[in-house]
Amino acid sequence: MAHHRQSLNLQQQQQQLLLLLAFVFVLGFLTSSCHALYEDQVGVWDWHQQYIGRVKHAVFQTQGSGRKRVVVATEQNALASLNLRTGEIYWRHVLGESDPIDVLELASGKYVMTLSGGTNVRAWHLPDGVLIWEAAIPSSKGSNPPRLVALPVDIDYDKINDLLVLSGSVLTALSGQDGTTIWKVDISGKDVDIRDVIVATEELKAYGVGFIGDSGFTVIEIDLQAGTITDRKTAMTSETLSVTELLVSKQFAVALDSKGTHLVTVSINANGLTVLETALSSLSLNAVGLPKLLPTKLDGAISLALGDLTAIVAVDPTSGELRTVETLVGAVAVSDSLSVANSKHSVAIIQLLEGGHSQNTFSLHVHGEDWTEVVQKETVKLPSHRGHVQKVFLNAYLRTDRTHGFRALVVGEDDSLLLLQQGEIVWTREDELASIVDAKSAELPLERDGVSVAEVEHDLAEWLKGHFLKLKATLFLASADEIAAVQESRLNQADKTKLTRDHNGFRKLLLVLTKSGKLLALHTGDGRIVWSLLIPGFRAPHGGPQVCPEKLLLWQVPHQHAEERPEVLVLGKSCSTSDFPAVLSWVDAYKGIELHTMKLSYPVTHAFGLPLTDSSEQRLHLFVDDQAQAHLLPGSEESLDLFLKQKDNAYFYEVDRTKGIIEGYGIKGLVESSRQTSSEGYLFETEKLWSVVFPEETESIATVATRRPDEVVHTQAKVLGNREVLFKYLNKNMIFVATVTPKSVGLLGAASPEDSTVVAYLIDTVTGRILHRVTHPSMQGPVHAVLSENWVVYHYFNLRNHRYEMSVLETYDQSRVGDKGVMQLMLGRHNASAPLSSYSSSNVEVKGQSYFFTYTVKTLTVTTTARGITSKQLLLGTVTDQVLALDKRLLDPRRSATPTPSEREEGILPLTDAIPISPQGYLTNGYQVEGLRGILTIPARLESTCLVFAYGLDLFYTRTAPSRTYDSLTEDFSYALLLMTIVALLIAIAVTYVLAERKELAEKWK
Amino acid sequence: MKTWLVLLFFVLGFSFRNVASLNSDELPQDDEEWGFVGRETSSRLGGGGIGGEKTGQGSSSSSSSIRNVGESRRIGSTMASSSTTSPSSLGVPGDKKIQFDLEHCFGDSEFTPAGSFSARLRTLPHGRQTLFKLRLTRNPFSELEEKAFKEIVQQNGFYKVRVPANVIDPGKAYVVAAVKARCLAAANLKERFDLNLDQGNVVGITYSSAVECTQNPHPQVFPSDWTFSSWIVTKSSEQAMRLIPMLDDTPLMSGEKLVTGEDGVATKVVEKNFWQKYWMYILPFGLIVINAITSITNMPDEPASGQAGAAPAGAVPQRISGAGGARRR
Repeated sequence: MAHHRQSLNLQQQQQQLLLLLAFVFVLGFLTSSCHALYEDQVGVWDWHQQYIGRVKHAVFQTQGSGRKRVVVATEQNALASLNLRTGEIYWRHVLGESDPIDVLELASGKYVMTLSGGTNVRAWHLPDGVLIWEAAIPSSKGSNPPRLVALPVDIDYDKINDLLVLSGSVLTALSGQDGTTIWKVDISGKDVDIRDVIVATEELKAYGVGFIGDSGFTVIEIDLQAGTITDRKTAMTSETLSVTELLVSKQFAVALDSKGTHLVTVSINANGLTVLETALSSLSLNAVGLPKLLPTKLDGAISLALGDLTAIVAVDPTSGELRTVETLVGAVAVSDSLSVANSKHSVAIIQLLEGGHSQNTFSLHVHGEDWTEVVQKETVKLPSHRGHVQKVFLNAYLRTDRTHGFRALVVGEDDSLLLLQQGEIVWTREDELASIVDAKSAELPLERDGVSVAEVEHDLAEWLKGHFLKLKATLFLASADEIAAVQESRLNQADKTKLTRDHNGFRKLLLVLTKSGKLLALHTGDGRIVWSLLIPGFRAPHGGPQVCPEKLLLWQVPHQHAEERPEVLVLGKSCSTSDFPAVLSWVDAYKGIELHTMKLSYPVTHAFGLPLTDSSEQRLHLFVDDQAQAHLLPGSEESLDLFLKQKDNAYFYEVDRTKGIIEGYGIKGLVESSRQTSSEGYLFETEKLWSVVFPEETESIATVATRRPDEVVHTQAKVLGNREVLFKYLNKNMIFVATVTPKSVGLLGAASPEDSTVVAYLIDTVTGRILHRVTHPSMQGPVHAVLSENWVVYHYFNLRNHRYEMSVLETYDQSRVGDKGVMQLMLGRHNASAPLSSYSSSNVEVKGQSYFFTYTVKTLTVTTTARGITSKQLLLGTVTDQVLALDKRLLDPRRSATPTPSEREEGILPLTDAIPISPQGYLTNGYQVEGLRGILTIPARLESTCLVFAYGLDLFYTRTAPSRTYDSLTEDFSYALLLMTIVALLIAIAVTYVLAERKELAEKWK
Repeated sequence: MKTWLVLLFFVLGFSFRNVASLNSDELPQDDEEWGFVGRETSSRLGGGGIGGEKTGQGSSSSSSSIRNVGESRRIGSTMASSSTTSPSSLGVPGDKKIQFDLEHCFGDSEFTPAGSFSARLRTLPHGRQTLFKLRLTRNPFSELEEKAFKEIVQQNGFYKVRVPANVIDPGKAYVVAAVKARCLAAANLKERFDLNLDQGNVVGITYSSAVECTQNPHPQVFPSDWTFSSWIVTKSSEQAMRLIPMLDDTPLMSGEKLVTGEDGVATKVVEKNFWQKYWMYILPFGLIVINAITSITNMPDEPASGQAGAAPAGAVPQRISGAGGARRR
């Protein structure tokens, strides 16, 4: 009996021991998932850059004694105040995607007024960007651009000047104090289409100017204080008018006739309206195509574009007579009129100099009141990668000699922002980086033999000194200055920014393609721009069709031939139409020069690299056109031979989101005639092999996730705690598709939980086999997914529990299950090496599990490492524009509430209903990557480490080690301490040896 | 005896095959005992939650059923190609018999009728529809088709089939699938259809030869028998288990107690026993005690072995022994 009890006790002890072990393990796991930084580590290997995007409105604040600044609104819906001396951001606000800023005005010298979408008026405090008030105007019908006028008078007697907003046909007066509506008047009438509003301050009158139908003008007079319509004037024209654009000035309005041959001017004066029609030919303007009125606000003049030509036509305010004052050819930017002292007006015109094409030299002319007079004349040379000037904003300042000087804020073709003064570029903002389309990484060149590391590094004494300082700092012996010096040296490590490959593979080039058609290489060390190129092949001729960059493909990645340069291929498509032929451009990734460009004769629906490279390590690419034919590039005999060998095993698929169809294709024969035009690629006929049709009424494609083509998987086998082996089903052709109920695509609440479903599919893209299909009832999109190795994780919204959920699916190959046991695996007695074929009848077991998750997700990706040994982290772009790292082990479908001891040993966590979020899991630390759109993960050469580049409006780069840096010493490891310890020990050994000898001798003499 | 048994099995198997082929010829009006094919797993809806034993978080297994439908006779004429919907005279009210075409094509040719599927459609009370009892009547190859098939076998091309995506009300959308003609030929036209059904829709088909065909390149053989033998597998969607918020109401384990934290949330804490709480004090104390005991036990021995005197015990003997050693030399 006693014996029995003892054995029971023993069992209990064992259990306790196991519990303890498990506890220690869990503790160990928790600590290993912490990636927090110390304060002094910030900026050592991460960097963060802030941008605002392409500027569309700018107002200057240069009067007064305060800091000189310019407030800008951008196409990326950012509102920012910049330091006019340096271009730095004082403050910045990024508004939502559906909140574009239409009008930007300064009011009362200290408020910034913005009007978004014709419905939201906001007042911001100029010095610090605090939102003072926000007023919502009920949206009224009408598609005309809304107007906002900051009144120079106070109409509600609160000593703050007020505002007028024209939105649709409703004119609203808002209090400048708090944005309350003072009065509101609907100025529409039969056929009346009011376009603009002008204010006569002295008379306290506002005038709404617009069209009547398409054959007349109307001016409506409104009393500013009462908000009542006091008068309506109309004037009919003999010609029918083009009602797309109406230019309104204080004393006149100008429109084009529908044929585009006449300019129709209406003069607004006390007596009434007088209409005058002037033929363009009489202004010696020969129309090439349809002329277009430019929305530039000029005083006493209008500007219009006639094909390649830009003309400025002065208008006589009383008679309405027209006179051409300037005709300009080519790329021209005209600023709005700027009123300087003595109510004089000035206009800046920036024009590419004749013959300045190669130099990218521009002339900047500032015209005075009279158009003949040129107040300021400068030539500016812009770097060639800035392209032409797209927009110019003029600002005046008082020179030392009390005359007026002018500076110009210009927006380049590449979306960058520059300030020009006295013919010089004062500062540049690389705001093209706010709109990255695609990003890839490239290796840096190898270190050359001539340059040894020692020459670049400091000498040994310096090195030792640095380490000695570090040691002092760690032992709390250093003074404040010394600590600062240590921090300085950490942040500016010389080897961090070198332009050569490093041993650990941390130094790389980030190749980013921007919306403006610019390719830039950023250094991972400090984020500086190594080179930039405005891709010449994509630059639109003046007024020609615009080419939008679409995709960045790694054309050539040299491994064997280190002297070869990596090449990237940029694919461009027409911005507007889909059937426009595509443009290709090959760029040297080291130098940033376009090697050659090609305009294809066919449009490209999608392009992808094949897992084949030719002898010069150029990757073979397939371009699929709209007829579902495949074109093979490079168009060399060698690549053709290579491809023909693999032709029967080449398949591709296309996803048609609108129709809800996925179709798979096989490659048929080569079209022999394409041998002649092989520079455009060998043409292959294709054959539709399979299709998956999602039921139209119940499912529409929400997301498609694929594996990274360059993903490395370390092992197929997963050894369980009980020494059994699970085989991952690693199908390179597997994709994940999630569909949602079409009704629930829109906002939350659009569909009831009963008829809103998310369906997840795993599809083999060679055969079209649906490997797995699982429905999640009462769920709603948007769905974000990431597919890696044998698992997929996806994120969606649970309508019943009103929470987000994340699900995981893992696929295991049951057909290999016979070879169980680690011993068999080790002895090679298994069939894990047998190739996996899409055509073999697979026996896939799918394990799945769902968890609640707290956040909305903007983007989802996974870390990658060089050999795939390190465990993985999911990287989530959260709604707060931060990057959160989650250990994949949290999303393990084999988690259970009470894991068995063997499962615990394996590291399976006890099941929870929600994924815990550790505050230390944020890779972005305290930063925000505003407008986060994508996260690029790059494997370093060091297996433990993965490089992470997050981009949106801002850029952020850091390193992450999902299983800690187990293969290298931390960088604050004190080599000096180690060295000094060794030296001290050696000395101690020598001293004690001598002492011992002496003592022994003394003993002997005793 | 053994031979007899084997023979018996063989004969039995053969006769069963015959019976099966006979059955498929005339379409049975009602054979409820065969069960549903591709039925939604509605019975498993909302079963279980998280928190219990095994927590029920896994997903229910997919309902897929396999039906072997025998081969069809060689018919010279093509069958009526329109899909018909006719209410059934027998069976459960609301059941409909529907028929839809299987079409095939050889390489680049147009799709032509190759047979017809017949199935029963049942509308469940909550409006969902299920297809079951799916049968295929395969038209044998005509002379022309046989020739075309041989051609694509030689070219190592694909033999493709398609069915309408919506089988109840066929529209323009078709679900296509293909198989290497050589695989099908090598398998003697033993084919396998895996249909993924969603109510009245076919989402996808996997069309393959019933015999594994992974050789590459596939050897060129022609079927010895030009009769199709179809194997139909229907699959419907799995339904993921509903995730129910976990309420921590598991009973307290022995040695656990509830402790209300600063945030007012009660958490379970495993109560430590005396040793777990105070080991860090006990251990050094124990060491000191042991040390002391050993020194005490050693103390009385020292003066006895060495010289008498008041000199410290530790240093004196050493010196003596060292000096003694020197002297001995």
